[in-house]
Amino acid sequence: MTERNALLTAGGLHLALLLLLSLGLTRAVPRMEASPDVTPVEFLDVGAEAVVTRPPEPSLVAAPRDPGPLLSSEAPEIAPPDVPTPAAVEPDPVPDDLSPQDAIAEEVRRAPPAKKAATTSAKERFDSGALAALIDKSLPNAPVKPRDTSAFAKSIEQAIPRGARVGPRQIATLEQAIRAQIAPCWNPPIGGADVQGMTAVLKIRLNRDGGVAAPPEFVSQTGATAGNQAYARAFVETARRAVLRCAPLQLPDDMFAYWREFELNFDPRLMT
Amino acid sequence: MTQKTLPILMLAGALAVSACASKKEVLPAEAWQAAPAQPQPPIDQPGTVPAPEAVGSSALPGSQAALVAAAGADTVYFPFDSYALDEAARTILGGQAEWLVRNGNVRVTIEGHTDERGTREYNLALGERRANAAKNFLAAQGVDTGRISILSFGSERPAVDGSNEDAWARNRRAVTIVVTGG
Amino acid sequence: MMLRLLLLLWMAAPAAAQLRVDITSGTEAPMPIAVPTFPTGAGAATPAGNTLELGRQVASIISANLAGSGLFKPINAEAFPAPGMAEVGQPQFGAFRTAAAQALVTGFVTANADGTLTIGCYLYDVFSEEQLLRQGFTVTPAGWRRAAHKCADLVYSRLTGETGYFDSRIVYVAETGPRTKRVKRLAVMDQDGANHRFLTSGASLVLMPRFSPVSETLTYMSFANNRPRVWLYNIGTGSQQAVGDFESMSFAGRFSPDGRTLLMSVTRAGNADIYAYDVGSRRSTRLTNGNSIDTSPSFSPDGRRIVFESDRGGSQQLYVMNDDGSGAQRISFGEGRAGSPVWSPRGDLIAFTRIQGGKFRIAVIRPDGTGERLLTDSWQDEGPSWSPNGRVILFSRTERGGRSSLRSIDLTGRNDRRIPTPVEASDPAWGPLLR
Repeated sequence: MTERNALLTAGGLHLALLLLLSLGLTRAVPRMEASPDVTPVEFLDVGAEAVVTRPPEPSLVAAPRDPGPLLSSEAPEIAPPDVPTPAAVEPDPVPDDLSPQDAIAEEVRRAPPAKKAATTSAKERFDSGALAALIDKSLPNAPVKPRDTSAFAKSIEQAIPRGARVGPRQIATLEQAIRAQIAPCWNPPIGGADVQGMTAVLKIRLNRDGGVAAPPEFVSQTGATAGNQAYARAFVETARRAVLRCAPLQLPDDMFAYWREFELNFDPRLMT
Repeated sequence: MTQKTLPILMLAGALAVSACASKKEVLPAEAWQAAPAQPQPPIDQPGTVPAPEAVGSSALPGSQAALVAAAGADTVYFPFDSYALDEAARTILGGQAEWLVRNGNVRVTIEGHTDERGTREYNLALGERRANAAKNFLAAQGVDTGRISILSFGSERPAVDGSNEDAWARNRRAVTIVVTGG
Repeated sequence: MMLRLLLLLWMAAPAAAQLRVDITSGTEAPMPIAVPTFPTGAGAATPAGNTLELGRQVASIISANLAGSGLFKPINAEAFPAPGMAEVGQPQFGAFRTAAAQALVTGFVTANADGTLTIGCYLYDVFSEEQLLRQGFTVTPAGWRRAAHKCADLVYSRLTGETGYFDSRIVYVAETGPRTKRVKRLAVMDQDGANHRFLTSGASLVLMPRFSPVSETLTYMSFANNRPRVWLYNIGTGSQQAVGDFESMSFAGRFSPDGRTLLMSVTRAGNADIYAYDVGSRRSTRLTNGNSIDTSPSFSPDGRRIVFESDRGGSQQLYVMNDDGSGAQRISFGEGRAGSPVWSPRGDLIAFTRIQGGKFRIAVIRPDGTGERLLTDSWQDEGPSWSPNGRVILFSRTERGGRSSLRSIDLTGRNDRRIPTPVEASDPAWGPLLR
C-alpha cells in the first residue's frame, strides 16, 4: 500500500517534470506569425493620368444618349454624355503621429518614394510561400469531434495533490463552461470563400480571476493557402478577438490548474 | 414596329394613299411626334379616297383592318411556356394566310410576346419562338417568307396590365402587323 | 515497473499534455464598429464644402458602407466625443470598449495648399489596441466620396480578409410609365446610389446592361429601329456601336473577365444560340447549336468555362460548357426551372434564378451542381449580378402586379436590402472596382 503510494507520488512528480519539459519544448519550436504587420498599400494603383479635376454634376437630368433611330448599322457619332471619369484617388502613406495638420500634409507630400519601398517589403513578407506550405501540412479534412481528453484527465489527476482529484466528467464540464462562454463572443467570418475547412488553434493563458494573463498566442492553422492569407489572418483575428471580448471567463476556481493555460481550436465547419 | 406606329399605318391604309410606302428601317421615333403636323385630308370626306382599282376589290386593301376583317383577328394566343398553335390559332392564321396570298404586296411583321412569368432572356427567346411558329404556319400556307419578318418583345410589351391568369393568357400572343399595304 | 510507467507517461504526455477545447459554433451577429467623425484641425473651406463637414460626411459614408454589407454594425457616432487630430494616431480606447465596439475606424480630412484634400484612414482593434491599418488618400475635392469608399473598402478588407466592393458603380434599367407602354432608360450610379445619371433618353427600349470588367464600356440590348440587338456603349466617350451584323435578334450580352470577348445569344429560325464575339476583330463564333433556347451565358473567372441556360432537356436548366462550346454538362436539377446564371468573380458559386411553384427566387449553386441554396423568397426576384468581390448579389424584384426595384443580398442569404433608385428599376449589373 505505502509502496504503491510512494510509487504514484514519484510517478506524479516525474509526470509534472515531463509536462514542464514537453511544454518547454513546444514553446521552443519557432512559431509562425499569424498576423504579420503588413500595411496593405498594394491595394491601390496610382494613375496620374486619371486625375480629373472637374467635379461630377450630381444631377438626375436625363442625358439623352439613346442609340436612337439609325439609318445604317454604322456607329453613330454622339457627343459624350455627362458621365465623368471617376475622380482619381491617390493613396498616400500617412504619418504615425498627427500633430499640426500642415506638418502632416507636408509629410504626406514628401512621402511617396518611401511608400514604394514599403510596398515591396510588405509584398516580400506576404508572398512567403514557405509559410503557406508549412501551414498546408496540417490536415484540413480531419473530422470534427470532441477530443478525447481522458488521457489528459488521468495523467493530470496523478500530477496534482490528493484530495483535489478531478475526473474526466469534471474536465468535460470545464470544457463545456469554456465553450459556452467563448462561442457567443466568436464572430467567425462566415461566407468567406475558404471558411469551410479553416481552423485555428490559439493558446490561452488566464489569471486566477479569469482575465487574460497574456495575449492569446497563435499555435496553428489549417486551411490557409498562399491565395487566402488575408482571409486566414482575419480568421485568426476573429478567434483572438473572441477571447479578449469574453474575458474574464467565469471558471471553477478549484480547477485553475487546468485552465491556467489551455488551447482553443476554432472550427466553424459546423456553421452554415 | 412599335405599337405607336400602328394607328398611323392604319390611317394611311384607310386613306389608301401611297404615303404608306415608307420603309420601316428609316422611321425615326421622332417622326411619330411630328406626324400630327403633316397635312392630312379630313377623315369625314370618304370621297377623297382614290378608287381601289389596282386591286380590283372593294375592301380597303393592305390595311390592318382588312387583315382583321378577313382572318377574324390579327392575334393568336399560346398556352403557358409554349409556342404550340392550337386549333383556334391555326384557324386565324389560316385566314391571315389566305388574305396575304390575295394581297401579294402586303408585308407583315409578326410580334411575339410572353406573359411576365419568366426570366427576361428566356422570354425574349420564347417570344421569338412564338412569332416564328406563326410565320412558319403562314409559310406553309403559301405566303412567301420574304414578306414576313418577326420581332420578339419578350414580356416587355404586355397587351394588358395585370398579374393574374386572365392577363397572362391575353399577353401570351403573336400579333401580325401589316407593315406595307397595297 | 517504475521504468515502464515512466515510459508510458513519456509517450502519453506530449499528445495529451494540455486541455484543448473545440469551439465549433459562434455568433453571426454583425461586428460592432465605431466610426466617429473624422477631425480636421481648423476647418477649411473647399469646393466640396468645409473640411469640418466633410469629416462628418466621410465618417457617415464609411459607416453606411460597412452597415450595408451586413457584416458590421456601426455604433451611433453620437456615443463618442469626436476625436481630435492627436487621437487619430493614439485613440483613447476606453470609451470605445465601453460602447462594445470591437474595431475603430478613424482618420482625418485636411485641405492642402494645392487645392487637394488628404483623407487619412486608420483602423484599430479596440481590444488588442493594435493599429490594423493606416492609409492616406490625396484627392481632388470632387473625389472625396471615392476616398471615403476606398477607406471603407480597406477596413472591410482588413477585417474580413476579402476584397472590398464599395468603390464601384451599378448600371441598371430605370422604368417609368404604364406597364403596357413602359419607358426604359439606362442609368448608372455609385454603388451607394450617389452620382446617379441617366444614359439614354427612353426613345428606344433598352434591356440587360452589363459592365466590362476592365474598361468604361457597357454592353446592353436596344430595340432601336425595331432591330433588337446587342450594343456597346463607352460611358467615358459616349460612343456607341451595334455588335455584329446579325440579321436576327441578339441579346443577353456579357463580357469575358478580360473584357475582350462578348458572349451573347443570337436567334435563328426561332432558336437562340450562344455566340462569342471578339470585340477587337469583330468576329463571332457560334458556341451552341440545336433546336433549343441557349442563352444567359456567363464566363467563369478564369475564362475557361461558360455557364448558360438551355431548354435542350425539355425545360429551362443550367449547363456548364468549355469556352469553345464543347463538353456541356447540366448542373441544375430538382424541382422547377433554372435561368439567368452568373458566375461569381470568386469562382466558387453560380447565382441564378430558381423558378418553382410560381415563384422566382435568387439561388446559388456550386459549379459542379452541388450545394444549391435559395437566398430570397418573394414573388418575382430575378437577374442576379455579383459584387466585384463575389460576396453580394444584386437583383431585381417585381412585386405581384406592381413595382420593380433593385435589391441586394449577401451570399449567406442574410441582409436582403433595397437599393434606392429615383424611379422603378430592373436589370441591375454591378461594375468592377474603380481604378
